[in-house]
Amino acid sequence: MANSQMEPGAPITLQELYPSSPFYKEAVSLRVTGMLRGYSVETAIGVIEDGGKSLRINTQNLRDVSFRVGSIYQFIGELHIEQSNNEAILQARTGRNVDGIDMNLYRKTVELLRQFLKEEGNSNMVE
Amino acid sequence: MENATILTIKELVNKGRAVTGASSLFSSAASHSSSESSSKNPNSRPGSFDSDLTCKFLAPLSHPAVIVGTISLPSKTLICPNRYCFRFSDGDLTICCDILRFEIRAIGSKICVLSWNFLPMKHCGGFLEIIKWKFMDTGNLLSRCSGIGSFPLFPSLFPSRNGDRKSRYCVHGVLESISPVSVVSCMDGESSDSVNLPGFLVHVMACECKAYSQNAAVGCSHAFEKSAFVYFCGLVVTSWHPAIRKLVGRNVALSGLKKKMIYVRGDSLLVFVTTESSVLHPPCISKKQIVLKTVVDRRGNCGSYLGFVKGVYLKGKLVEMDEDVWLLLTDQILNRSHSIRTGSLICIRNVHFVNTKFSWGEVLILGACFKTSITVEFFSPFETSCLVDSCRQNSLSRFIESLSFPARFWALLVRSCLQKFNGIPSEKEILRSCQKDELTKMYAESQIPSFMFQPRGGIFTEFCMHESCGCNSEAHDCNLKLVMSISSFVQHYKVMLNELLSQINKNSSANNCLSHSSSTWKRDNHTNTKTLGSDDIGVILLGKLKISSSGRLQLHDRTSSIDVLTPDLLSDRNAHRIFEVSDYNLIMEGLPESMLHMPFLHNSLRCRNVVNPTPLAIENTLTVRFSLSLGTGSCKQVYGHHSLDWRHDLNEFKGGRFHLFRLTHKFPMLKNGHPGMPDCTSVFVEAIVLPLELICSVTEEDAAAPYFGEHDTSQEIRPHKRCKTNNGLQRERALSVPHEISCQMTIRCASSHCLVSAATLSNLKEKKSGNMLSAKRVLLEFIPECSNYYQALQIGGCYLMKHGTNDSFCAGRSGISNNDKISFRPETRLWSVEFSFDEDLTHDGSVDVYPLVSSQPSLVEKQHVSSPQPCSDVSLLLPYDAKGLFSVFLKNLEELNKPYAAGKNNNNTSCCTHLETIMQAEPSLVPPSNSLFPEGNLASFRGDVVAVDAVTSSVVDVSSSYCINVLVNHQIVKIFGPLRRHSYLTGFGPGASATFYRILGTGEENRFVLTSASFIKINSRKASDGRQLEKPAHQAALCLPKVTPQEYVPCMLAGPPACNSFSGNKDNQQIKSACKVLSVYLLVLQTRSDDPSENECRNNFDIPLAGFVVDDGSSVYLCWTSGERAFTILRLHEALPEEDIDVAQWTKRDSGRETTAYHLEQIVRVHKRIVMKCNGSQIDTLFRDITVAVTSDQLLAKSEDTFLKWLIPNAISGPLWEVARSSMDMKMIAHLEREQCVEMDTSRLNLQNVWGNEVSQVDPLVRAWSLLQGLLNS
Repeated sequence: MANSQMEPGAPITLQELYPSSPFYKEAVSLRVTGMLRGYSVETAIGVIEDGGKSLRINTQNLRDVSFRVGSIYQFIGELHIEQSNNEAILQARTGRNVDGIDMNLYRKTVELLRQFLKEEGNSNMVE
Repeated sequence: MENATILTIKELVNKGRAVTGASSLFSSAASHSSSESSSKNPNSRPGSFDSDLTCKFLAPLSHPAVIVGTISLPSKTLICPNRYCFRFSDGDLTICCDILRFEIRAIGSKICVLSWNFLPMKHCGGFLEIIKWKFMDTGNLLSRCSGIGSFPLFPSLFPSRNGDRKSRYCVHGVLESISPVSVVSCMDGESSDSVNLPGFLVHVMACECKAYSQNAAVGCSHAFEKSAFVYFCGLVVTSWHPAIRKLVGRNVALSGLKKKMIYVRGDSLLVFVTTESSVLHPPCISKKQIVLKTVVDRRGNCGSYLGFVKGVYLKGKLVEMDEDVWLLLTDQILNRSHSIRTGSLICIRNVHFVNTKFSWGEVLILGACFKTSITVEFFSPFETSCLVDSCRQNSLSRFIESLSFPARFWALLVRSCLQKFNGIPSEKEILRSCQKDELTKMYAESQIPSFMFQPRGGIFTEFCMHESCGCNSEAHDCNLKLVMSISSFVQHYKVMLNELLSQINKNSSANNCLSHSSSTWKRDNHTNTKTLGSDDIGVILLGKLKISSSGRLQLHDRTSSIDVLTPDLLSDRNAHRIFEVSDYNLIMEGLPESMLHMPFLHNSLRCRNVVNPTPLAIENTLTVRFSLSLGTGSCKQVYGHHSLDWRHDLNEFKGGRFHLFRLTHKFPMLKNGHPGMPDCTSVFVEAIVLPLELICSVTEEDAAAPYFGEHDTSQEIRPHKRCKTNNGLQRERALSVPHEISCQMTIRCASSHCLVSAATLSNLKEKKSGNMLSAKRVLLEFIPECSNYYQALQIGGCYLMKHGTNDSFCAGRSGISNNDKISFRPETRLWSVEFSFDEDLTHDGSVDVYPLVSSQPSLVEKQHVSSPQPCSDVSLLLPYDAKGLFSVFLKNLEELNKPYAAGKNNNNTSCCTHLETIMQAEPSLVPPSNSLFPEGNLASFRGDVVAVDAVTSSVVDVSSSYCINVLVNHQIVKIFGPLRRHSYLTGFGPGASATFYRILGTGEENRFVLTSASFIKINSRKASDGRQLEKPAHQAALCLPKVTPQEYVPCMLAGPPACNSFSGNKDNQQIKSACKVLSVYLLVLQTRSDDPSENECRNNFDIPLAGFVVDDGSSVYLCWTSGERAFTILRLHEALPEEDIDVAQWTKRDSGRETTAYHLEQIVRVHKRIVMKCNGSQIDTLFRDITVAVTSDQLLAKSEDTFLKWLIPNAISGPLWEVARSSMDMKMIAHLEREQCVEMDTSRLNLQNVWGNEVSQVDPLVRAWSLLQGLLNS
């Protein structure tokens, strides 16, 4: 990988991943969660969906995750924007099955976490 | 047949084993004559005997065997208690026998017994049941169906004297009935001495044709319409009784009879009497149908009944036939055949059918009278004991014979119930049995109404004039209540609840509803209570009252015991006296929720359970506690052998002087109670010693002639002596004590004996200081031996104690002063006393008596319900003037600082709505205490318990306690505090009417706190069938959390405020967090109680201390806890996972036995106390060194050891727990160590020690949402 330092995957919801969003950038590290809609064994590309939005995941680097359509998965990886059609695909470096997760709660938690980090960042700046 | 060995009787008798044998082991019926093939061996008969009995079949011989011998009539050579049964002899030995397919010709002939049962008997070697037989002499066989033979009743030694003109009559007809053998004393013509001649009567429906032709006996066109009686008279002729008995219902002819006129009850009756030349002409055997089920043939009141014997009880007096059909063989004179055994098919002819409705259910009684005859149609294939008459006729059997059939049946049930009663401490069994008979008789006499007695007319009257002698008229309804032993009683309800439960389960599974699964209700099954009144139950219990080792009052008999809740008791409770409990409520605690809404099946009680109380092997999936709440005055003593007792009682009063004291408070038992206090085995009461003594002037003569009956002690027999009142009394009234008050004293003894006598109340003289001037308050200490007294004493009750130099009040002190601690001596006797006041002593006629304060407060309460029968041992009638004085001493203790009635605004609100508003209010909050010690006024009042809630509060000092909602004056009062073992009484819970003594007012309206000195008395319980629980709003509130006895929070953390010296510790904050169990550190398991009667309840073991290593995500703690919380963390209430451990030996796949707790209980029960320690020095290596120590002398089995160790991984694999913890200091650790006698070794792992106050399972989602909510709000 190009980056010598790997960034932590910022947890986001799929709704936040639209072309003008700050996360919609090449090589940004993200943590995404959604239900697996489809999976191709040949290409190792899966599609997760949450809240009406979907995202393609390249799972070729993953080894121990078994994919079952209909289950909920969480991936951490780097976003890659394909130049040809401006479509995003996550190059997953890790992933796991998170069946049973309460997505509403998760979304709220993500918000709260961001809020906390923001405050934390502010206070750090004051210092 | 050819291979069959010939057995001798001697061989059989010497072996002494019950066996069955046959000539052939293969069914080769074809080779036999047709008549034989029709009589099948009962062993191979397909059973219509729907037996739930666990009878053993008779052991068959392994080889074919026959017995050869002769059948003879009974004779003196073999004395059998049943007297008139056939004999069988093979020339060597003679034994009793019975025979199927009997023919007269068989008598005296040599026969070969082809199929038989042999049963050993004590007195005459054995009993042979001949199933199949044939004549040895084949020549005889040819003439077999030729029909008639003639059998002279007298042995043919005497040539027939045909010339006797008197004996020329003959009777020919159907033999209707036969009487038992009775003895008539008559004058012997030759010696003019009176001799006892045995004889029996036979009733024949005869044909009137004069000439009897031998050839026309069978199949003729005779009309058998004329009733004729034949008397078989004399020793020799009487021996024909068993043979004639076999002929009942058949055609017979008797010739050579003479006519006699006898007089029965003034009527003359023509009777044929046998003579020396009498001859019997038996019928030819006609083919009979084999009947395999009950056949009832009834004509009017009498009829015949064919059925299988299901059980023989009480020496054969009571025979169980079909369901709720009982044969009574009470008349001593009746001949009972040996072969009436459990499993035999018998035909009862001429028996009375009495359909009787008892209060507990309907029963068909088959009453045997003198006309009844019983023949065995098939012998029992089971190895059951033979019926042997005991010829002893005692007063009980005579008494029972004088009753009508329903009453006889009832009396027999009572007798069988007392059978199991270890009533009399006598060593000799016979003596004991006699005493039980006597007791039964006395008890039955007192219960059976007079119309159920029926005069008996003797055998001639009842046999010959059967219809007119009243044998006919029966009372068909009978309000006698069933007397049951306690174990059968409890068993009955257990069975009923189980049936109900299975019905519910069936319904719920049909609805595919999982909410009723047993695990759902098990969690809180101590909450639900149902109560049944004795009127609905219709059962009387007899038992003795005792106090169990756990301090509960129990009614017990030999079979079992049951907890009892009683409002009043005579203080004169002798442990050997038997009480009759008729008015009570049965309380069933711990029913599953689903059962509350089901109507109770009113299963009629089965009499079988009474006479044969072998516990049915029912699967006990329910853990219901049964207890009785007695009504007032319901506990009557059964008239027993206490004629000496009352005399002794009265002697105690003779010229005696008595202290008078009143109980003002009872302190609860501190047994196993407070950790902070030294072990105290004594119990204390507070009493006020009145400055008066009672001088009784009962004289010797009075004591010798007491009055009988409580009701007779009304005005008529009271000697209306004018009671002298001291003149000074008027002036000094209520201020100081007068010198002398005359009064009238009624002493009630244990039975209904009463004695009225004059007595004087005079100023108590003390040794030094002269007269005692005012009442003194003292503390009475009861050592454990006297704890019976403690139980019986009632707060507010007045008691007498004999005054002597050595009594408890006087011994070793010059006088009583306030706040003295006085030890009660075990030999001291107390009598309860009540006062009443004559309104106007100058009136000669009417005396208005009313109690000012009843010694039993519940009496006053319930006057409208039950008769205000006085229950105290002694009542004193005082002049009206003394009332003022006594009102000072006898002020009401139940109304101290009582919460006032609801305000005027609320007057219109009905109590119900008020209740509801309270119920719907949010969880009860504990009153905040802002001072180190709680302050407030003490209060005492009475109210109805509406609900008991667990307090949901984070306030540390009262956590794990309960809030009791009590309805007082139509308003809800909340009482907080821990309900510990000493105060958790039998029957306490919603529906109980209780009096709370000395509870602390908190300053807030209607809020009180239980202190360690508070006492709860349960006055009564409402009969409820749970219907009022239907409103869902109530359901939640009425849920009584399981009160685990001995479960307490160490007093440093949360004890009753009064003893909590640490409650002010501000640092002791309770923190809740989710924890995961990393390991078990220490586990103490012990049995809860030594009382076997309590062993039925769930979780009969306790975890007084358990230490767990827990991780709450941020740090690791050593978390200590106890009781139910430890149960939860160890997951003991969960089902045992099969795959985790080789549990094959532990697990029976019964429902209810699958929990870990159940299996653990088995181990704890054996070893009493188990301490398991993990000794590793690192958290990860804790299990490497586990020690298990037990207190019993038994070795811990390998499997038990494995099971105990398995608890650790089982706990570790548990879910997240939310634990409310507070820190522990060294003091508390030291205290726990001392209390539990274990080394907690808290410093080994260098972890922080915390106490787990509450444990609940974490739902991570719920927890997460609530966390989020909290964060968003902040």
